[in-house]
This record gives sequence, structure tokens and C-alpha cells, in this order.
Amino acid sequence: MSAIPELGVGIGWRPEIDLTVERLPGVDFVEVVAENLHAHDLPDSLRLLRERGTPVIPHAVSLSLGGADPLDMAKVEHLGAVAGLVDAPLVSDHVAFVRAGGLEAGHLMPVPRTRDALDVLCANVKQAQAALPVPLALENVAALLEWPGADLGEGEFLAELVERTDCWLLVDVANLHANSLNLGTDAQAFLDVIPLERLAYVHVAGGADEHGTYHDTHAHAVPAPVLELLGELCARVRPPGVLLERDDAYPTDAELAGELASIRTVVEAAR
Amino acid sequence: MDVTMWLLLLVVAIGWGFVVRHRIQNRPVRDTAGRSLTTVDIAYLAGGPRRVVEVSVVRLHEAGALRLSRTTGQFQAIPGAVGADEIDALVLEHTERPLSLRGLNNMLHRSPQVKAIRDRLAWDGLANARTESMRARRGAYPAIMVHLFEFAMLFVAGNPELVFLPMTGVVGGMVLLQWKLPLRTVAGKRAVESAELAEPLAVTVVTFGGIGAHPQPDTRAAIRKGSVPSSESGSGMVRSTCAASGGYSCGSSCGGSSCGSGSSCGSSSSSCGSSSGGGSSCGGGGGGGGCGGGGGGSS
Repeated sequence: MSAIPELGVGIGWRPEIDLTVERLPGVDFVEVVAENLHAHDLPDSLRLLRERGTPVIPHAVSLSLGGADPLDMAKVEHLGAVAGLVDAPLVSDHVAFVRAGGLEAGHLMPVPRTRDALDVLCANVKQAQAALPVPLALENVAALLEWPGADLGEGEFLAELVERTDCWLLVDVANLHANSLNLGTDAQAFLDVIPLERLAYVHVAGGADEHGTYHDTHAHAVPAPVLELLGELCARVRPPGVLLERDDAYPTDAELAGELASIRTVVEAAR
Repeated sequence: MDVTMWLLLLVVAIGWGFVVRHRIQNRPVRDTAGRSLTTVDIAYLAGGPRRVVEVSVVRLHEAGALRLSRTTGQFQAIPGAVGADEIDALVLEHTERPLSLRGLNNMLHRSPQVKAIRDRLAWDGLANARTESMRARRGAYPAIMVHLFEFAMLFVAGNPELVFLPMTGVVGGMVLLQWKLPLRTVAGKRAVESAELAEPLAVTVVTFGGIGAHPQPDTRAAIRKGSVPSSESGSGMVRSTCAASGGYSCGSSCGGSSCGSGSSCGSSSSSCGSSSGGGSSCGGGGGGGGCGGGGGGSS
């Protein structure tokens, strides 16, 4: 079991904000969407960051590890190739499925928390791990629905996933916040149950209420409850890394720097 | 008609065209005491309508109102950013989604707002606009008309072997007709030479020297990248990016042209669609929502 290196505070690298990410103070690491990169050619900005020694974590969105379909090994191999290209310490994806029966959902669909679904998920994760050159971390998703007939709570489901596959966890506190608002789940209970010693890093993002539903937009400022949840998590364990996700409506560099500083303050305060 | 007469006519007619052009170029400057020249005025006089757009873009970028991508070479407005004038407002409006400087210029350099700058400067006697072009063209008419008349007279007089003489004059008149006036007048040139701008260095340099003179190599290189097709610029990004992971996943449904140009598939609650092929599930270049069914998760 290899350890996850200290990552610090980072931000999701997106082509729209590449120069900003390069210039922002206090960016210890970045995460990139693996599907958006070639496996053989890096954008200049990422090459520059790597030359500076900034860790780059490929984050996949389409492995569909929770799906009943056979794993698309080409996608796994692409993720592995990108990891090799950026010399990544680990890669990540989601506890979700995005396709079934030949149809693409276009969404990270929550996995039914049944024993059968867990068996499928574990098998897929093990198959992916065998093909990946670095450790794999899996992220909790924000869902707008829960499948009926759950055998396990989300925390228990992830705990057993970790136990059976030895994968790492990527905890998205914004998703926890969204689920608590939309589905009434208990974020504290989730944090109580998951194996925090297997925490690889944390996602933080902004969102907005729309028609009574909280949307994890990644296009708004991080709300206070999400930072509070990060504080709760940091009070329990020191996460190797915490990463700000911003995907649209990019604010000024100063605002992004302010958000990173707020995250760092929360992380440091818990130490 | 003898050759001397023809030569005299030629010199007078063509000369008249030159006189008209000279008078336009050296026309007196109107009293503009109530209005000093702005940066975009100087930009227009220094480099024309495209320079106006370039200067606005650089000024907004320097002010932090526009973001530039090294990877795509595209500019994008910061939400809520406000510019200094109507050209800035136009640029901000057109960069709500990422757009290269080349694309911006193609869309804006003939906009009414840029034409208004030209017309104002022409009114001041610093630039040449449509009115001045028409006047200059009218200066060529005598050369053409006189020599066409001469041409006809030679036929009537039974000397068709000499028609090459008036034809030379007609051709000279046509050349005058097609000869475009310079962008600026002599006074306009002097105004540029004496201009002092209270702007950041990059804005000043680009105003006088164009975007290729931008003092920051990173910015210059990124802008250059945006001016060539992405397939040639080697961005290192997959041509049609599926998603920026913001709460959705595109999978292979985004294999087509649905989410390209470095923009993501949509905002928050939207996804990239539910098609199984490589079609255009996200539509509209990635803005907005409504690309897919609800109920999914977010990253």
C-alpha cells in the first residue's frame, strides 16, 4: 500500500484559467480532467507546471466504475497513460456509472447501494487498478435521487469499497453538502463512517440554490457551509490535499486567490 | 488633336485628381478643443479598425476584465466586468464565451461602434471615411470623362489609329479611381506622432505597434496560438473536450463537436446529453444547461 504524498492546496486546471493557475500564489497541486487531454501531448501550461514540480492529478469522469457493463479498458488505459505523462502520484474517478445498455447518461449517476452493486463496483475497481500505474482514488458524487432498496448507507458503502479494493478516497465536501440539502443525508455520519486514513484528497466547490434544489455548479463561490464541512473533515483527519474546483463563470484572479486562501485558512486552523 | 494637346489634357485631368486627394489629405482640422483624443482614437489613427479592437482587448486584459488562455489562445470576459467605453462593452459582450482575438476582430472591426470612431475622426479632419473616399473618387472623374470624350471625337474625326492616346488617360483615371485614400490625414498622422497615452505599457505599445508588439511573450504567444486553427496550434487538449468535470460527465457522447472550443458542456446541473453516439448532444457550443436528463450526480 503506497502512501499518498502531501499535496497541499490546489485548484482544478482548466484551459480557460491556465495562465491564472500558473500565476496564482499558493497553488501546491492541480487536477486535470483526464478525458480532455491527449495521452501523448500535454498543453504547454501543464508542461510548465510539471517543470516547476507542481503535482498534477488526472481526474477521470467516464470510467463508469459503478456500471454493470464491462469496463472500457481503453478509457482506463488512457487514464493510465495521462498519469504517466504527468508523472502523477495518483488518479481519481467517481463512485458512479455514466453508461448502461449502450446509452451514455452524460451524468455521474449514483450507484445503487446494494450488495450486488457493490460486488460489481469492486470488481470493476480491481480491474482498473490492475491496469493503472498509480493508486486510484474514488469520489463520492452529488445525486439528485437515491435508488430504492439500499442495503448500506453511503459511508458504509464506501468503507466496504475501500476495504475490499484498497482504493483511496476522494471526498467532495460540496457533494456532501448538496446531498444533505437535496436528499437529507447526514454529512457528519458519512465522515464518521468512512476510513479517513485512506483519504487521498478533498474536493471543494461552489454551488447555488435553484428552485429549491442545490446545484453543485462549480460556477459560484464556495458557500460557507461547504467550508464548514471541510473544517469538520479537517478536524478529524489531516487531508493530504484539498482542491478547489471551478469550471465556469470564472471570477477574477483575486477572487480565485481569495477562495484558495479561505480553504487554506480552514485547513490550517484544524492543525 | 495633336499630341501636345493630348498631353496637356492628360496632365490637367490627372493632375486634378491628385489635387483633390491632396486637399482631402491636408484639409484643415476642425476645432476639437472640447474633445481630446482617446486611446481608441489614437489606435484607429495608428492602425485602423482592427487596432481599435486589439487595444480594447489588451486594455481589458490588463485591467483583469478579460482572461486569456495559454492553451486555446482565447479570451473570456470575467463575469460582471465593466469596460471604459462602448468598444470595451462590445468586446466583453462577445467574450462571454471564449473567443480568439482573430475571431473577435472579424466580428467587431466593422461594427457600428468602430465605424463611429472612424466617422468622428473623419469629421475632425484626422481620418478619411466614406465621404472623403467619394470625394477622392470624384476627383478621378474628369480624367475619365475627358478622355472618353476625346476617344469618341477621334472616331468621329476619322483618326481611330490615335485612340491609344485617350485610352491612356482613361486608364490613368481608372487607376486614380481605385487608389484608396490613406486611413488618416496628414493631421491624423501628426496626432499619432504627438500622442501621449496614460495607459499601461502593454496598451501603449499595442496602440502604436499592434498586437504583435505586445511586450509580454506569454501573452503574445497565446494570442498567436488563438489565431491559428486548433488542429494546427497543438494545444495538447482533445479537440472536443467532453466536460470540465463540473458536475457532469460526458463520456463518449461528446465525441463529436458538441462541447468544443475549450468550453465545458454546460453549467452545473446540466450534462452533456444522453446520446450514445458522437453527436451534438450538448448544442450551442457548451453554454447553458439542459443538455441531459436530471437525476445524475456531480463530481
